[in-house]
Amino acid sequence: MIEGRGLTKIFNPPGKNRIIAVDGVDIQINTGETLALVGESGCGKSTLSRLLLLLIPPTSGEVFFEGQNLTGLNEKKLRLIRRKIQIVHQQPESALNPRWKVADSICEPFRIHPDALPHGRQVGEELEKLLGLVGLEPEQASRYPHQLSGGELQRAVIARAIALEPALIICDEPTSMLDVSTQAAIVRLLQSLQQKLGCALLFITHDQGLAHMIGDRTAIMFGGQVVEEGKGVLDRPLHPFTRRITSISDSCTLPLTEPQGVRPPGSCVYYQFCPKKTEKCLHNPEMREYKDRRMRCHKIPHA
Amino acid sequence: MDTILEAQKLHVHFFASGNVTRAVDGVDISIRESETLAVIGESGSGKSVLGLALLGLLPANCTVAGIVRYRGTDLLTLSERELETIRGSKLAWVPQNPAGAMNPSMTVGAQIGEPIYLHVEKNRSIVRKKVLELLQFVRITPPEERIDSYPYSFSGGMLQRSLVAMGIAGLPEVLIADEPTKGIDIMNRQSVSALLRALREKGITLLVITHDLSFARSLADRIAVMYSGRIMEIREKESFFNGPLHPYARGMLLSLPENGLHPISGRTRESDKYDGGCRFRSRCTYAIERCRVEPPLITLQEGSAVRCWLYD
Ligand SMILES: Nc1ncnc2c1ncn2[C@@H]1O[C@H](COP(=O)(O)OP(=O)(O)OP(=O)(O)O)[C@@H](O)[C@H]1O
Ligand SMILES: Nc1ncnc2c1ncn2[C@@H]1O[C@H](COP(=O)(O)OP(=O)(O)O)[C@@H](O)[C@H]1O
Ligand code: SF4
Ligand code: SF4
Ligand SMILES: [Mg+2]
Ligand SMILES: [Mg+2]
Repeated sequence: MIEGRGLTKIFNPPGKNRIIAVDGVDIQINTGETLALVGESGCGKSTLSRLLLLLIPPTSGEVFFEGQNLTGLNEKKLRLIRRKIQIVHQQPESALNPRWKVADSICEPFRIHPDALPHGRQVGEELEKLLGLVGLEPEQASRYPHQLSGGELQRAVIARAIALEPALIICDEPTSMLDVSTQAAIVRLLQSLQQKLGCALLFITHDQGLAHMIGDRTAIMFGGQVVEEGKGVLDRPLHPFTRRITSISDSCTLPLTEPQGVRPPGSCVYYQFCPKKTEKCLHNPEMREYKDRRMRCHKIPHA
Repeated sequence: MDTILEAQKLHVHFFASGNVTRAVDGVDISIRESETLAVIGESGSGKSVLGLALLGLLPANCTVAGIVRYRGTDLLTLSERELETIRGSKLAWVPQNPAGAMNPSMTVGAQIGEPIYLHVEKNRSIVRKKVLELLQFVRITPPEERIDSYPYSFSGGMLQRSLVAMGIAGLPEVLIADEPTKGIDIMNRQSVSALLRALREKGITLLVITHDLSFARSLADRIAVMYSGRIMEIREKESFFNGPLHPYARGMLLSLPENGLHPISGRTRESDKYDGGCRFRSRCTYAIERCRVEPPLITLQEGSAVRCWLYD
């Protein structure tokens, strides 16, 4: 349904080294499916999700939505597509307009797309339905964002995201600031909304347990690249980076691997950290199919 | 062990759009010198507001009642100026919202350096050196390149680590950190954890508000569980994780992905605070007739208590 091909984003902050935030990523999400995207902070997950929506222009690469190439579209046509793809952000604190009542933010999509309101329905009725779906009280929706707790805010953000019945919801660490029970409730909420609306989820998270629970497939990102992707990657990790993160125990006591030397230009993104590297790894490996997954690593035998 | 910071009968009530929210509603808590206390609990249960109240950092639209004492001084009776001095140098706060907490028009290095300049060191080049060390410490590398960056160019995890650096820059006695591992990945979490552990070894008292139970488990001496503006359980870490007592706390553990991701059914309602019964009653599978009256915090032994009739 949505597909990114060769997506690359290079930031050139003035006076600084350029940052390759996303580096040649191919990604595909099918109708109704959940893809979990896991990776270190700063590895480019949020940038990738913004590229998929073309909220920022890619340095190179293309995005297809339901077969249509979005990359060349003008802002007006893009807006029509964007209502089918919604983002639930990492920081709900900054996702809603601080000067608006939460209810006004939730109903904003209907102001932007008045035709999206089901025939004969009032905005107020829709609001009530949305609040019911996400479990918020009308009184809470009449407050301003700074007057709600994190969990309440995230419910409001989800209510706005589902207002237009999107085909894809990109959830950028939607529960990283919620308590475990609210997290479970929000994840269950997203799953039931997915069932009801038939939408796909791109679920970005640091939490491997959660990725495991929710994802039909998992993609592992490192240094701007998807390095491993498939169904059982967290159970049976093959890529050295995936092996590394899945072996860290909860005790938080394992010493950190510090990078060794500098990354030679054009080498594998994991080169500085990899215990298995060989001379071959000075050339960045291509993405290749291997058994039930796709991977970027020279250590994998040719299929 | 000596108490360094405590609250007694603390209430913080907000008034907004004609409603009262009793964010903190009768909290008694003593934090021992040099201990690490993790506060866990539901979103909206008042953890952040409690943390802010312990620092006298509350917004204008609220009323505060009760006592907050730091080494015997009641902070709620101090002037804003007296509070400022204590806050910068003795009590420090690492806020929950990394993006909103940083000034977007100031470099990260300048913001981390500010408390050092104010409370520790007046020589700007020494301050800069200390900031570089702090950045290295929180793994924002290479520090020389990052020190003059603006917050917008940092990812969420990097911002969070910068905030921890800012919090510890003034060498406080008590550090209250609100969700220090929020939104950061497992490797960075290790470095924040190592960082807090190092502070703990220096004898700094830590109050860590967190949703990350394994993080709390790896770091804390004691665990306090909040629900609906109250402390429901406070216990030594090991005994808590070996068997939480309060039905809400048990529900929390069952909500973990590794335990099947079972949310607690129902939800908190502000109205549950007014009927005089146990605040968890409408969601509690153990509720009995007696729970129509709210249980007190029942002391089990020194430093360990639970607010539930099952343990009376
Ligand atoms: N400035 C404010 N005005 C009105 N109500 C507020 C304000 N700040 C917080 N509240 C309310 O107080 C209650 C407690 O909020 P608090 O931020 O302490 O929750 P929390 O336990 O830290 O939750 P989370 O885990 O989601 O951060 C919530 O119901 C919230 O809506
Ligand atoms: N607007 C920007 N200008 C410069 N650098 C940026 C910008 N946005 C993100 N970056 C950089 O791109 C990298 C990836 O960031 P991000 O996608 O937010 O990571 P993640 O979501 O995986 O934590 C980081 O090094 C970050 O500093
Ligand atoms: S390609 Fe080489 S350096 Fe990269 S992950 Fe594989 S073995 Fe390690
Ligand atoms: S006092 Fe009663 S209702 Fe409250 S938690 Fe205990 S058993 Fe449940
Ligand atoms: Mg991100
Ligand atoms: Mg909070």
